[in-house]
Amino acid sequence: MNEVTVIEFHVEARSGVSPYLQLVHQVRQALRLGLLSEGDRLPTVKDVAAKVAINPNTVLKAYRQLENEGLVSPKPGVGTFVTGTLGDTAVSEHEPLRQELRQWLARARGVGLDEESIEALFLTTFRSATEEER
Amino acid sequence: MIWLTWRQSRAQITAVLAALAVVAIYLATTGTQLHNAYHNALTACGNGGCGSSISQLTDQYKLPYYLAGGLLLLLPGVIGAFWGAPLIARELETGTHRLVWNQSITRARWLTVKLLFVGLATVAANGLLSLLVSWWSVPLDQINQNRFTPLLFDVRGVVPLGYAAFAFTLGACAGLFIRRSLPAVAATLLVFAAVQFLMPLAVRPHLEAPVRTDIALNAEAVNSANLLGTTGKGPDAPLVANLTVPNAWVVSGTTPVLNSAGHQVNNKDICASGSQSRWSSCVASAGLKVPVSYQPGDRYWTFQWYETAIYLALSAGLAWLCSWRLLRRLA
Amino acid sequence: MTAILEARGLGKRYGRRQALSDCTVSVPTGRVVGLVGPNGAGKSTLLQLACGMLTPTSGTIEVLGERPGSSPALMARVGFVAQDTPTYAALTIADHLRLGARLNPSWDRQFAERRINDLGLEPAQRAGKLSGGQRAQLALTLAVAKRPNLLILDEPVAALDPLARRGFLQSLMEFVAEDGATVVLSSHLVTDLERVCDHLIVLVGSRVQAVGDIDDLLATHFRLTSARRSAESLPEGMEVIQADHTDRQSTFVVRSATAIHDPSWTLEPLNLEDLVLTYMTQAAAGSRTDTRPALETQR
Repeated sequence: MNEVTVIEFHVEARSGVSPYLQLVHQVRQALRLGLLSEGDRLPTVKDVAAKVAINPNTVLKAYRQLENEGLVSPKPGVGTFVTGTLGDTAVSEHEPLRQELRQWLARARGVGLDEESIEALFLTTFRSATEEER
Repeated sequence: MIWLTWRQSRAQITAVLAALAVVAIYLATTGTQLHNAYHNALTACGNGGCGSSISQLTDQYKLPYYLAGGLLLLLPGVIGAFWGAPLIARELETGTHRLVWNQSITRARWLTVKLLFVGLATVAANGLLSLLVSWWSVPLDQINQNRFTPLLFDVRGVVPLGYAAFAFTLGACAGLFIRRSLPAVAATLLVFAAVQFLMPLAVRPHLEAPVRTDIALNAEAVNSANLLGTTGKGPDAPLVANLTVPNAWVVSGTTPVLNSAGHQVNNKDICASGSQSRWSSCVASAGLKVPVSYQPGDRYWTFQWYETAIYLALSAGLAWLCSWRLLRRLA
Repeated sequence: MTAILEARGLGKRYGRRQALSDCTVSVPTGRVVGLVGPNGAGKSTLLQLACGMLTPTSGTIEVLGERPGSSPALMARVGFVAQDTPTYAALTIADHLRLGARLNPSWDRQFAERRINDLGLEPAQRAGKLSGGQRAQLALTLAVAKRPNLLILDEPVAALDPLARRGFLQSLMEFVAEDGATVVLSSHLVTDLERVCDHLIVLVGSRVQAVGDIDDLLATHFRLTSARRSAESLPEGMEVIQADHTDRQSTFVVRSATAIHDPSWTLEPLNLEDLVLTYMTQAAAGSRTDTRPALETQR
């Protein structure tokens, strides 16, 4: 039934990232690197759960998240298929953002912040902004 | 469940059955020889040549006689302990009770099948051997006329089946309460031996009120006596006797010898000196009597069935105890 | 969501020793529930009460709405794998499957044989000659081949090497994915539980200390590090589970519906092992006077 395994998942126990997010990241990474393309079928929930030894609900959650992000779409009775891509389009929009970030970093260093302070400032702002969005 | 019980016990059951088959062949061959020889001796008896050929038989067949009796004496206790004790104890020891009690079967059914299957095998094995030994011993029992006496009573007829059932359920109970096979086997053997020892002393004599009578101390009585002599030394020592009654069971043991007036006699009053044979014939013609209590031979089968019933009732009680304890789910 | 297992004030006493006290817990259907706690906490006792191996001395427990072990029909719906995964050493694997088939009306023979085949086990092999991991897989096969609704496992992987452990959990997850059964699994290894469980019960000192969905537990517990301050000075809505102070610094484990950030402190998520350890140390210290579970997630 499973002709070709397009992606091998793995879950790291102590990474601090919840298992379902790790799966989501691995699919996104595969898309970004071009290892997955439109029309590819992701492994079944049962196969992933049995191979990686994780709860099937975790896999379901990951697939649902990917569906919400418009990257995959389920076909009942057949499987979950890749529908979106994370390709070059994203890269082109990265460039102006990268430039702005470099400028900000230069200003922060100019004010006298060291690496850890910059990182802490960035992370706390990032986290609280993400929380507010939710 | 029947399949599982068979699978768990098939090694021990087949081993014992194989051994019994060998014993059966041995008993069948020697038994037919014995029966034929006895039959021939009886016909010869009509011509007056009785005594020597008969006593020859008892000597000739002494070995298988004791072997058969010994085996049947031991078998109920030994099988009962070795098959009964590990029945539950083994499962508790190895933890397999946590496997089998979680299948879709109630503990009641599990216990019932195990007890009945292996229990019936125990009883059947003992029953078969008892049948064989009882048949084999018929000629010698007729010669010795002592099958009602304690040890021989145990190894004839139906009582071995009762003993087997009792030893088995005793073993199963011991295994359940002690939870370890080997200590349970030891405990079973001990308790069983104690019960077997006490039964003919404390219970069996009272199953029916014994007959009391005075037996004349004549030549026949003197010849067949188990014991005839004095307690203590000296001419004033009283005379005592332990007599036998053909096919009966004398329960009074050794009792004083009395004269016709009913008083105890001393050796000096009767026949103080002389050779053994002269002393015996002297005593025999002195008009003495011995009071005895005995169970007459015609009660033999009644006693067999009474005793078997008692042991079966004990077995039922032990089986009930087993199930009561097991179903309380202590662990 | 209905509960497949309901325990109310459940207790088990052996003579003078109280193995389990006042245990009230609800196991939702369709979850993989991890039961974690130190040795002697009562995990084994709770699981054996759930499958009917033991009877309670106080309180009640109901599985699928009935008293555990009360009928063969109920026992067909509950599978149990005991600690040390006992098997009959003299019987072969095929004999064990026969055992399962004869004693369970709901036995799925093809399913059992396929599993044994997939695991590479030799049916004619005696169970006594199998490795620990193989025996555990055999015990698991015996428990799942009757297709139970509830599968209870008492420290099934404690004695196994990492490879055997992984193999066992893979098999277990395959079964859960296929059948959607509810699983209750006790273990010391919190990392294993994190992979396979979605619901957690922390049992310490024979009492339930914490209970809830793992995702919720992880999303609502944080480690807060700040300059020395008192627990009361923290905002409303932040429940302090544990507090440690040095002269200059305070470290708290807090429970809060959302992550509240503030420049005066650092808030970090807590991983599951640390979360469990927190509840276990608090229980050991006896600092919880409230005997109800510390945390419950209402569903």
